[in-house]
Amino acid sequence: MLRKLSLVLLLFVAFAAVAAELEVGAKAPAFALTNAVDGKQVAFTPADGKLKVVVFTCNQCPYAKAFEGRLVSLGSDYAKKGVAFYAIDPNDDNQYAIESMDNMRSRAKDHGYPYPYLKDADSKVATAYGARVTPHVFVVDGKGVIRYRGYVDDSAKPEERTHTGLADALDSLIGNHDIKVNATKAFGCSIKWKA
Amino acid sequence: MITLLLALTLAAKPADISRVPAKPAKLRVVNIWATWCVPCVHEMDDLRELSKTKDVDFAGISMDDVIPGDRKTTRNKVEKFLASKRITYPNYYYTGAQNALVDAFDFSGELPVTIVYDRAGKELFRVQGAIEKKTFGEKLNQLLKR
Repeated sequence: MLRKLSLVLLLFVAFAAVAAELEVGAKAPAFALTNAVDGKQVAFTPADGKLKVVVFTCNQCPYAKAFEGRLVSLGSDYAKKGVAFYAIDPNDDNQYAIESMDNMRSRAKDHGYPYPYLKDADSKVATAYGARVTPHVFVVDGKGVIRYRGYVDDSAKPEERTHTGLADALDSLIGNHDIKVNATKAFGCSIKWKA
Repeated sequence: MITLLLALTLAAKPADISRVPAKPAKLRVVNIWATWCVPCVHEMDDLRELSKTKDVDFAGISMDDVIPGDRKTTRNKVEKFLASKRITYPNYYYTGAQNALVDAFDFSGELPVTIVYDRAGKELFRVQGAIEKKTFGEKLNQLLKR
């Protein structure tokens, strides 16, 4: 009986740890995290009147790395249109040293990140958003509402791309149009949750 | 779903289609994975052991190809990995559109995912994330006894 109860409890904890992905229309959670690039605290204020992109990514995932150049390019292009990108590494750096702040700083500098690279050391922000994989993006409007969630593009191979989910969402919002596809399935490496 | 699986994997140029059994076993287990996926690599030894279960056919689908790179090199890497893990059940190297596979198997996009079907192709259960060998084995045995 005790064994059964322990198993049920264990299952409950396991399920509780992975929160549901926030839906389009939900309020985006606020957060304050340390930017690995300069060690400064960055506050994300959802209803700040600006269009924002929150992207969960990391140092170790080959799939996330395949999107790195694309995100740098999008971050740079859309910054000119007033969109702020926030890259967040939610992976546990105790289990995976590659996800340390030092390695994040090096990565951001080497690849010219035009946005802060924030450490979500206890994966709490990833949990609050219901992020599951890297990369996993959420577009938040000026009122703090999630307007798009899912993948950056439907393929990491530019020649096979048929849907540029993130760029389409940003273009629609900037142009004041409806987003045709506002929720997609983020594909990538599972988040390495804090043990 | 089995038909869909075969259609997809055939389109994806399976490594060795001759090994797909003509008569499906009582249960079929499909594991979707990639060499770059840490939990996928970790569960591979357990899957090899579980694949010895009588009346259960295992099949793997590698999604390594979704990462840009030379296809031949990536495919070789997958084959070498499978050989190093002594995996003998059929494994398919998927080269189609990433989302087509994600949608066909209706999973979140997080690897690995392991799905169990009955002989008719009806899904019985799935594990999102790495399997736990003992629990998964017990579940298979339970289903075999139905």
